[in-house]
Amino acid sequence: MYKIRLKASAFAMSYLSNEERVRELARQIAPFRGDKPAPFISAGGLKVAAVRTTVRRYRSLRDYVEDQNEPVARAAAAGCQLVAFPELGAMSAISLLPGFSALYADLTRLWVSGSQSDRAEAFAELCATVQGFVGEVFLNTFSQLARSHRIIIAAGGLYQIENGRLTNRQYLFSDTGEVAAVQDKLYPERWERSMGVSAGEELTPGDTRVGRVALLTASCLPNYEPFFVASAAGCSVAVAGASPFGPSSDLARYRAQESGLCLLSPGLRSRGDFGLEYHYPARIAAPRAATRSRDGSAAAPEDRPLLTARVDLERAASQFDLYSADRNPAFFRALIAGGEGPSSKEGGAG
Amino acid sequence: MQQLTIAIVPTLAAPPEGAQLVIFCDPRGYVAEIDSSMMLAAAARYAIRHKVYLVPERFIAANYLCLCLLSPQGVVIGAQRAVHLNLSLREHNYYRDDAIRPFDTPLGRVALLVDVDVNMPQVARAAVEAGATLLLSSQFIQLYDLYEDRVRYGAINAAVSNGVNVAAAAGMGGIIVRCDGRELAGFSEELPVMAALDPSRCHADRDAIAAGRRLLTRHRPLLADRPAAEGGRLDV
Repeated sequence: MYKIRLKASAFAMSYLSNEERVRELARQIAPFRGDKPAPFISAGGLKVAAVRTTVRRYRSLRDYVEDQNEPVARAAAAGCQLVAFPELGAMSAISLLPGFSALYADLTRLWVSGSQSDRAEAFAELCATVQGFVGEVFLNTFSQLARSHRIIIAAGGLYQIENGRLTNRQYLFSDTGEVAAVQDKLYPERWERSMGVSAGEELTPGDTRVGRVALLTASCLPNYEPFFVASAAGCSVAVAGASPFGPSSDLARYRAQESGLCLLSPGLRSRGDFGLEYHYPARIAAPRAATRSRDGSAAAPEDRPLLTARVDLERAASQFDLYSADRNPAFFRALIAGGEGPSSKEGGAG
Repeated sequence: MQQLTIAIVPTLAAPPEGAQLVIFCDPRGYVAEIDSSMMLAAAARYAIRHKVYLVPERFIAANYLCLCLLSPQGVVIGAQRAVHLNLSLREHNYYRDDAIRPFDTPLGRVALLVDVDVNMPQVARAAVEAGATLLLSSQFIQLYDLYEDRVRYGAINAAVSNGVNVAAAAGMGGIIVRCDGRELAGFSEELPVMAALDPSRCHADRDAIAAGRRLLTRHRPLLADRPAAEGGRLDV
């Protein structure tokens, strides 16, 4: 029954949504502000925002677009040049499917009674079926909002299947509404791996007017490597926000300090609309010298729908921290050379 | 080994009762090469007298900043040269090692993080990749830089990022963090700092470590073209 219902809902949805309809709605809700001057942009005066999204079901396409527009409009009004949403933000658009409640109940039953392989199969089928319309709604909404508000948006993303590979994909929109970067999640969660989600193979940052931006996730935070690579690739900003699998952590401060990146960690809140309840605040971190704080918190974790901060990356780049600025290329080369590197000998007394 | 009691004490101060491993905490940058042998002899006597494993002060040997671990018999069972240096030491043209080399001890596999190496995530990660389950660190921090986040930063980062036990003396403070990220003792300017942990436990996520290595390898051309821009900053 679930499969039939899913196909029927997706078919019905194809009549309810199309690219032009979504864009027109976004234009109505967020008219293009041609009068708005382009914000002054320099690494010394970067103003950024991290959204704490509330995951919920949507009643209509308008409801969805209005809900996404609200934080973007507030960030733009606050003078921010970049606003970041948490990963998988697009997936809640699935609730726009006609008959979603019945579909959700079917899926929940299947989840409880089915085996691991049944779940993985159902999950892949769900993603394959809805990615078309969810992607259409999500991409067109954020493209139009970025263009209307003339703001760069790290919009989160959705599960997508491409060439038989299921990935958790994030999108970055430039302030002209173009897709500036697409990034497959580098460190899928254990649950995602069990559902067949493949890891992204490389970092693909996007060029924007505020510099290069890398789209990472909270699951990257315990690992210095992606931030290190992002920094070497010339990024000035990275996004690593909360997901339904867990919050971002205090490690954001450490990663920002050691990589020299401004690190946006959007938050996430759910009141159980999709069965789970969680509450992960947003935060913004940057190298100590780029903030007014002593610990690298540009905006400490706070229970607010939108967190903004101004960071001075120029100041951070011009200062050397006595205790963390040294770089040893020889160690680094040996490290990425692999087996013959750092672990080959022992430091015993001999 | 079940539980290991670690204490961070001022140099040559008697260890608290029950301490099995002692790290000296000192306000000096390092012990000069001319004094190193005398310092090590005094440290060996301390280890024998109190029957403890001992990480004495950082010292200069052959123009390297070094750290070592002494057994309760006063024998050096492991040593490490600094891989990175405090910028004020770079001015003196000291050399840097290019590898972190954990070694086996009765306490488990130990890596010594010399001075600012505790702040370098690639060093802690490489140590854990090479099997270390206990990271011991001794760092110099200028008195005017001695604040809580500065002391906690490196040790907590190393422990939480790698699921490894860390005991770190920093300036005149110290911190001991268990492999699950729990801060067992410190930050405190009131020495000794003391806590017990199981040094053989390690919560390292080997899949994530392998993924990190693959990512570095995949971006090797990008990184190799810019060897001096590691971490986005110039090699100074």
